[in-house]
Amino acid sequence: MSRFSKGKKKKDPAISTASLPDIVFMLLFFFMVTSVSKEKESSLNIVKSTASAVTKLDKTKTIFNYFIGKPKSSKYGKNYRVQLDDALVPNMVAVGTYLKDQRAQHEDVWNTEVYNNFKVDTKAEIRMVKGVQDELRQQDALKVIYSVNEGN
Amino acid sequence: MAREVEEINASSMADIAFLLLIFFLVTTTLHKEKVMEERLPQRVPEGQIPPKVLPSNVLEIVANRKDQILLEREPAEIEDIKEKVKEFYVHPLTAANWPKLTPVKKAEVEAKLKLYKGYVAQNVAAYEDSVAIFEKKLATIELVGDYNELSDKGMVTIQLDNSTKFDTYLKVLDQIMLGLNELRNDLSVEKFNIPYKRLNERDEEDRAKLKALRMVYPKRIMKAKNVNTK
Repeated sequence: MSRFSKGKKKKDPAISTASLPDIVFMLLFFFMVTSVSKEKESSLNIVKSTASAVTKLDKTKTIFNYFIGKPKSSKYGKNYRVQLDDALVPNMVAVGTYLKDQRAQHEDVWNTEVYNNFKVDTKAEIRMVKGVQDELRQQDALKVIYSVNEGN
Repeated sequence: MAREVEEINASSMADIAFLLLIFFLVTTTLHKEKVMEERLPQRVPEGQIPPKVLPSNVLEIVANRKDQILLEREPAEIEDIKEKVKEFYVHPLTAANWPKLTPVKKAEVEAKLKLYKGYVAQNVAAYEDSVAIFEKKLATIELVGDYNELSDKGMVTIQLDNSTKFDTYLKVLDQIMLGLNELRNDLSVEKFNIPYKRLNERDEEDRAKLKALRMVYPKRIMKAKNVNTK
């Protein structure tokens, strides 16, 4: 006659899974926001220089990347090389040809919206950079940026 | 009979999830690539001889193939460049070893502007450029007051060896920009009470301020032809 029944175990309630989608979406969003799409794969070893007077890269502009560094794989030799898009270029003349092609495609924004982004290894000699830049000047592409690490 | 335990109310879970989501959204920053900008000189027709420059008009920086620095013909460390750059832009008006600084005064600029506008009104097209220049000067004065104008011939020149390391060049460039930005920042804090870095290029009012600061302290870097030593 007691009000409390003893001895009989209560059944545990089932854990609600209604919130699971929320959690999953949250994680999804989190990773979507924090992940950075990988920079174009380079077949060169590049250690970027450190500088402090830097600005942020405006991704809305059209950007051409120029990589200068030593090849990762020894089959490309041990000298510093220039990479455009995905391929190593054999010489500076090829850079000029590439630029002519690009200029034809981007004529309307060539000297306003196009930025030439140099990713150069710290130990590379300036002659390599100069060589590419001479070709740029030949095609009137004058806006150059150097990709660096920010430091103090 | 045992009372069924009520199911835990899960409706607030969504709120918690959203709270967390928003927290991460706000606190995480996207990695943005950091860059240094440079403008290449225009292509020059072959055979054109570059104009002679007076030594007093240039701040000469030389880096050799061993990455040693010569600053105004004296051995120096890269870190010394910054102070020299500041001296290059700000020095006594009478200093003979630096480029000429000309005081720009409001009354004079207004008078000149009026004169040139008169010429343009008489269809002398040659003065259109002058009008544009003096309008810029006047806009600068409106914002920062009278200032000293660096001579057109004043240049910071960088002379490199073909074998100089890229890192050295970048560090030199960095030092020049650091010196220049410090001057601009000082002026910005003094006149507008806001650090130079905080001025927003996209905001119209800020852009006018940036233009004025850059007018007073213009970026004048010239690269000499690389030398080649064996």
